[in-house]
Amino acid sequence: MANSDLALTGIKVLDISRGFSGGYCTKILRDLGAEVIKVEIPNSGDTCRTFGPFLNDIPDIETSAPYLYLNAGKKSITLDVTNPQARDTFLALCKGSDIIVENFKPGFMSQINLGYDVISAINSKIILCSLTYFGQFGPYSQFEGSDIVSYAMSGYMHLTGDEDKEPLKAGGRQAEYQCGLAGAMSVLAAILTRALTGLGDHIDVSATEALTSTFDGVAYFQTYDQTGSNPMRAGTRLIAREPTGAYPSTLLPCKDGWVHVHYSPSNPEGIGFLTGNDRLADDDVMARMREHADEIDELLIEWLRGHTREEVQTLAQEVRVPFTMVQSVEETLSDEQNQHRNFFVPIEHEIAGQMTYPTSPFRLKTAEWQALPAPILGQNNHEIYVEQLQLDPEEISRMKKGGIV
Amino acid sequence: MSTSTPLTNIRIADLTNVIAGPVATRVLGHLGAEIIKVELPWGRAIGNIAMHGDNGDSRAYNKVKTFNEVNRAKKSIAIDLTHETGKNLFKEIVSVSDIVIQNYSPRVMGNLGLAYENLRKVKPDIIMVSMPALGLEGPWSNYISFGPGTDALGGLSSVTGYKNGRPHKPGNFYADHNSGFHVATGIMASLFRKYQTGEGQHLEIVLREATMSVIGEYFIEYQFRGKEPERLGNDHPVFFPHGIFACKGSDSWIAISIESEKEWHSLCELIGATDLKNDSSLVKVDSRRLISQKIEAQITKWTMQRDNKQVMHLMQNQGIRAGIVAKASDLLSDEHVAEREYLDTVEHPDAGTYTSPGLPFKFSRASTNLGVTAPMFSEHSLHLLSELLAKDTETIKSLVDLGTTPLEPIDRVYT
Repeated sequence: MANSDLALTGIKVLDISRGFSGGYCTKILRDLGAEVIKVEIPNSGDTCRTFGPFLNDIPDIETSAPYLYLNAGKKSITLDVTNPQARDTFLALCKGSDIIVENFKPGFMSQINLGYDVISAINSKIILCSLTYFGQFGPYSQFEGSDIVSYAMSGYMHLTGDEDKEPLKAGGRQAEYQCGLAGAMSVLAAILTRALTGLGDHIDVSATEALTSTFDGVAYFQTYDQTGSNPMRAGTRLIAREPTGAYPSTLLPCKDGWVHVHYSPSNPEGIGFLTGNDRLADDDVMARMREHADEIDELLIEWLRGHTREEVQTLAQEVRVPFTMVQSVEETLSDEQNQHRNFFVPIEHEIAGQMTYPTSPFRLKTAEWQALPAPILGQNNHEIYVEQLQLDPEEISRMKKGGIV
Repeated sequence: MSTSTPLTNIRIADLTNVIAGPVATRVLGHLGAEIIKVELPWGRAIGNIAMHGDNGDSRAYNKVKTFNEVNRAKKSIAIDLTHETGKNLFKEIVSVSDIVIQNYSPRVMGNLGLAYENLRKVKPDIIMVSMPALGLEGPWSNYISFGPGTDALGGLSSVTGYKNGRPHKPGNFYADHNSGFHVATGIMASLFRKYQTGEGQHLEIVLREATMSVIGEYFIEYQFRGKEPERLGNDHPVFFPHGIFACKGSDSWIAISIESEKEWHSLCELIGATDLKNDSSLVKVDSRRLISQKIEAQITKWTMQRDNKQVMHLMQNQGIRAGIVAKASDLLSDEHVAEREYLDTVEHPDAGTYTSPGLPFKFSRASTNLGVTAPMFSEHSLHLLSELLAKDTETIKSLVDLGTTPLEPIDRVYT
């Protein structure tokens, strides 16, 4: 159902990607109002459908948790775009689309004769967004990648984790998510360019660079430039700060779990006031906070020990001190702020049943987020092939038999 | 062929401070928008921290490193928004801008009389962006949180950490950059809608909601399993081996992920583990996990004898997913990073030359304007007052003298 109050109403996206990066890229475009058609491999679908966990822990292409999350509200058709016999159908789809998102290895689209030159010859306005682990060109472009490999090569991993332990990967698939986010951001820029020039673009997004782009370059590159030695991971503290740098910013234990404690530049005496500990507002400590980090931690832990996470957050926030709880997944799902904002909403899926889904950070006051389930594999074949492209139903069943659709 | 930047002719009045907001407008500046950073007359918010240890350097406020990094490709004007003259000056800028962005806590803009309803009267099709930590409304709306605090409240800290260890967090300001990129995306979408409909809007993007969105699958997982996801360290729920392995040298590591039978065999062959390769039961990941320590020890024995870059190339030549755990020095000297011209090195008159992350995408047609440094404090005030707002010399002098638009940070005590 079109909703004209959404930003990308009328924009058509063809998503031939697999997995997380393309999935998140087109999730954003869909949340912003675009119509997203996932073009999936016949019978097995997007590889994301094979990633667990699954409902009741039974592998099923219709109940993969990541697939259900990333693809809510998209349409699904089946087409083996790598099969030469699918070519005409695919190009017909390209003709009516604004954006194509793909994440094959660099050069693969050209190998199957569907490079940007071919596609843009059919539709000069089309925006082709190519998502890869290392980019379309450069010495590593043909490297094999994965989320952890990009997380490592981006530089982020060396600086995540404890100093006396091995580097640590963040939870989930942050390299692939950042790749998808960078993809969506660049697609929007290309849509705006197209509004000026009338021409599409071919966008090159590297997951590794996308993650490096979330760096604090001051701590990472500039510290090295200045000192000649590499900054070191620092547990949950900020890395590579000068002795005079602000502190605290770390996770500390309290009575019933962990809290994030943070210094506020607009309320420097706040922590001393909150804890009633003069030492934490002492000029001597304040002038060289980072140098006193261990002492600050100890003094804070002494106070935190007597309070639960909720008490810490409430007491701190009342006096404008930015301490927050470390919440579990379950707690996040049901906290009062998320409930008030309806960030999680129930969606009924015909096979996975009813569940509560994260909505989107792109929620407009003028338009509700469209709470729709992820598609069943090939759910929209008839709608797209027969109603829209007006292909002969007999042709479709012939292609089905050939494994093309 | 001459190319155009995506945001040519777009002007943004930028009131954001610290990191997340400035990151969003930094990207838009690199995409060609004119970013007018409206600064506090008494200096740079993020600078207060560094100014704390000001050793008397002249113009220390221009040398605040984090400020200079996240405010590349912008212009600076200082305006005292607490005074009527300053408010009016700001409204004049709004009247010739497309977007106003701010990341104050929810009450501030209203208290200043500069809420969306006020600004809309000045410019009916203005796009106003608010980016609160937890939301403009709701029981926690007035809570203060910086990026890492939203990692904690949004579940990311809970799913990050070593096996059997405490909650952890990704290095430095992940949540700030993540939300900044979401905001830049949302702004461009709103601009597109304005092209189509002629309408502006009030866009709200919440930092914590951007964090929750990049771990969305965990919320479904919890409902499937009825229990909290475990912290996995560098393990993968399915693939094995998957993780990092020590190489020759100090704190030197290689990341490896084996995802197919072919990759498993290639790995065994490369490291000379014929016993593992010949054991057909190990084609199954579950069987490998039973002897995980033995397998990891054999890999480490081989990787420890080699430099991590050498390991990466040897493995990649065999089609194995492997990459070094890169340090700053690795990235600064990496041939791939160099050939792709990824890093952005700029020269600042007061702060000198510095290197920062570039843009996470490349266009074939549209151009971008990397290589532009951050502005000095109030650097563009005179230019903007005379050119953009067409003020005469006398008016400009009085705005500067009154401290409405100071050319250097001023101390001000309010009564």
